[in-house]
Amino acid sequence: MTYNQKKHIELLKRSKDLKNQRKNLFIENREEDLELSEYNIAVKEYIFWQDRYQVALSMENFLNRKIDGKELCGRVYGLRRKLINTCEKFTLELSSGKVKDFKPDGKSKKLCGF
Amino acid sequence: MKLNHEGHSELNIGFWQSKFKVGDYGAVHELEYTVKDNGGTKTKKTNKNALEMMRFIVDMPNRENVQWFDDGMYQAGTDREFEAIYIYDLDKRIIAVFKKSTGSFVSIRQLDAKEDAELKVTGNLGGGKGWFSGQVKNFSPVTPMNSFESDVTDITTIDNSQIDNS
Repeated sequence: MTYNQKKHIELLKRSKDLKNQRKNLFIENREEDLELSEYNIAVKEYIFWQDRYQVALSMENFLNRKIDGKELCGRVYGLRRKLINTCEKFTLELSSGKVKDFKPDGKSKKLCGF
Repeated sequence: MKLNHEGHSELNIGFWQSKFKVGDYGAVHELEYTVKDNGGTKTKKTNKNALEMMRFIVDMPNRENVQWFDDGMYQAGTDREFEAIYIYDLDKRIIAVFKKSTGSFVSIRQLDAKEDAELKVTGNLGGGKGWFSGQVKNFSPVTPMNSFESDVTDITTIDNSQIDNS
């Protein structure tokens, strides 16, 4: 998938318009919803990549027994919550035109299976 | 609490499972929560909060833009996979997970963009990623040339045998 910022913004606006009509893009047009998902995933991976050192540090601390499994789970939940919130904010900024020339880092794919 | 919705199997939301889950997932249901040092949230595991969460789940099918997945899979590809029924709030990306064989409530959470897409395309949620939480079937072992550390930091891990401590 090649990231297309213009199309991403179009689809975000379409999704928002449908929400305002109490509808959902997945129900109305699955093909468009899938395309929007692909762009949203690119954003998610880009943001998660920026947190990679925190992820690595938590893993390292767990493997070195500095933190236990419960604390590792807590940190993963924390990172996950932060990721979801940051993605939401970023897509809002994207659709409002505040973000210019967004290009996802190709390296961010490396953490896609995490 | 029973959940009966026309055209779908009867589902059961157990109190103790809800009480167990409400600690980490109460925030998803807009229950009162505190943010922990590690960024996660904590909701008090009280009977009241557990019951609130159960009511929230029972009410999910009545919301707008809710999608049922009656033939879903949970953590497909791992040794913990099972057939699942999902009730998914498309607007808020909140999913309730039920074990199909018993109809019993398992978990509830908010999905990220990738999980959302995977669920919509495959009907599966979680698993198959080869991370520490489960043994994934047919997953090739991590090697020094492709380790988590090297992927994250771009630094290839040095094997201990290569270090001269003399």
